[in-house]
Amino acid sequence: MGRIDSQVIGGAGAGSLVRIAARRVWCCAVVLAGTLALMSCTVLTNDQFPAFLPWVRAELDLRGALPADIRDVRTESVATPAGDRVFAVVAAPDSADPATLLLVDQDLATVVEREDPLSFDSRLFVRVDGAVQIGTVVYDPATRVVSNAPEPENAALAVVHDGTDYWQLSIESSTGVAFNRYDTGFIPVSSWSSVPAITPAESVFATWVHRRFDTGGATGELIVLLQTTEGLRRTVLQQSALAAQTGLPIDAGVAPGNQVLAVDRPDALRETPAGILVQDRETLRRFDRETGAERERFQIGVNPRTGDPYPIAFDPAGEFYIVLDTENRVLYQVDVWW
Amino acid sequence: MSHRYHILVVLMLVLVGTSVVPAQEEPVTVVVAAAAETAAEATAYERIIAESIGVVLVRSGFAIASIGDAATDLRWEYAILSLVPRLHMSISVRDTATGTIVSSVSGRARANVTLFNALDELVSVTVDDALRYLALNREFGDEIRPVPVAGLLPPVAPRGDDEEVVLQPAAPLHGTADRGVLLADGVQVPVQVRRRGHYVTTAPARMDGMLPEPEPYRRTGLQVHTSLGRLVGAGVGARLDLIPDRAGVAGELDVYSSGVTQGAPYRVLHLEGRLLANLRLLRWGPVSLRASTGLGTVVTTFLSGIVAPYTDLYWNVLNLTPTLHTGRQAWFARVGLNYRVASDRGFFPDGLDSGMPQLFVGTFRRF
Repeated sequence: MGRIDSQVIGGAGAGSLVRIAARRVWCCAVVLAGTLALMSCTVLTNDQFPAFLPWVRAELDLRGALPADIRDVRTESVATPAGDRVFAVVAAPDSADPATLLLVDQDLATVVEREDPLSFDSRLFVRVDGAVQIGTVVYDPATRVVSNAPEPENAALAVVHDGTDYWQLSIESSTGVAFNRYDTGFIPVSSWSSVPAITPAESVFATWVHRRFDTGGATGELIVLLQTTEGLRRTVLQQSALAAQTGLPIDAGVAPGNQVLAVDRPDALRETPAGILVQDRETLRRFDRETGAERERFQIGVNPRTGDPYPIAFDPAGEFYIVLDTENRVLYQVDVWW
Repeated sequence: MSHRYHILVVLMLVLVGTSVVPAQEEPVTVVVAAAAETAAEATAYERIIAESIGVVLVRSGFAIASIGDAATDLRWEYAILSLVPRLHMSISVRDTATGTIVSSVSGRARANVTLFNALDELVSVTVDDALRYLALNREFGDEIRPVPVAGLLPPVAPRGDDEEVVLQPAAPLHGTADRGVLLADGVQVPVQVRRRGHYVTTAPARMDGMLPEPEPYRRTGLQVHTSLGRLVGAGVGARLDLIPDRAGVAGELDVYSSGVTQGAPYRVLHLEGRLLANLRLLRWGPVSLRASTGLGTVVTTFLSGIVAPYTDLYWNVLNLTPTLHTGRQAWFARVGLNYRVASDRGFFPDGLDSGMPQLFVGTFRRF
């Protein structure tokens, strides 16, 4: 015997109304159950907007400076011995036009804007005279004068100087990484193709080299962050007077403070007074300089319009970082996340 | 007429509609019997009543069997309730197979020649009920055979053509009355009134047949809502029904902030405006399901003032909104899919939302 769930009095077709009512109950139940399932799954974050927006303290509109069809972009930062920080943005357009070079200072003011036949791989480095150079473009933060100078011939991972000569860290297919020595006019002087402490680097995705001058002048330290298959290796190389005389600004001795950080393919990295800062695709991470332990993380996400990690560069002083929004062509200065 | 009779008539009328009872194909066998033993002085009346019932039944095409015959379909039972000052009697019809009371009447008559007219009238009513019941049985068969009504049913009758009255459950069995309110197995029986252009109203069924008066539907409403992912913020909205309770338009304005829960140093506010057109897809009782579509824009402002605002646009392709109506107040959840449009200075990429659909929860009140 069929069961009557409800009985409609008035209206037409009592029997069919009962069946329609039963179907509607099911429809509503399914919709409500689906809604509840969605509620339980959805995280309480808003992923519609860049996560770093509430940390933005300044922006620089680059719509007039950068091409609209950016194919590839690179950001870098250096600090001069005088404490000036300079940030470089190199943007290659989709067309055959030359890449655009922008240099901005720590206040996000444009100091150089050039369209030069600049090699996209040119590195930003600090010159022996205290100015900064990328490609053939030289900018002196002290005098705010822009000039030109010869550039290194070969693509390098990093360029440092020892007070008289430049040392280029580059990839050698046979030995991993190598140092090549140039004079101030970038004429090759010598090379040291095997640095045992930092060889082999099976795969190199990113490097950062910093020479510390604060040890008294006679000796210094060269800190190398080099991505290998086992993680991000931090190697501190001692510079001794003897090594300086024999031509390599470092000896093979490895100082305390070497670590391997659990980082996979960083998109940006830098050692700052605040710690070792790493952009690991969607995440910004801070590591302790002494212990290598991870401190704070920030989920910066990827650019929703491109699906790529944001091009960022860390402030050498560790106070902020810059983010380039290639679609809106805006450069942000963003507070640190800790 | 007793309430019981009234109710059954209403029930029958509803179940078979207003259609004419079809003619009998085969004679239905009935039996006439006394419901209880009557007093000795009443036997004369008892005989008159039994004979009068038989006359009407034969005239209506029923075949009368003797008491005790197992092959009967319906059983007419009569009882004399009192003799003075007037004859007070009741006649009821029972389905012998199920025990269902098909019809029940009671009436008073003077002990003179008008007695026969009164009897004829009463019996005719039970015959009409019985015929409807038989027609109903033939139409629906076992599928929705009425549940035996042994107890009470309140006289719930719609008050017009555009009103429906719903009793849940359909048949309160063995009911009792408590201060005028029907109790079925000790529980109040809800009666729901649905009237076109009015809110659905539910109240306990009353034995006196009093129904709750539904409130007329209102075309405008104000709402508040929030969205997952934007819980640091809220929205307000205004609704206008162009076709009452069926289709309308709505405008919404949301304000929410990013990074507050993460301890961000600066405030970023998102002001989001939306225009929606909605259509009710279905409604069952207090629950309805609406679909809507519309256009929206988000202005992202930095309270620090250093960063200029950003503007994003999107097409709200489809929202589904299950709503629970509780009178003028309603509670809703809304799942939506957006097609975002990349703007000159904005954050949205071109294309449909990736990941989870947007989910809103909120409430609105009609005014």
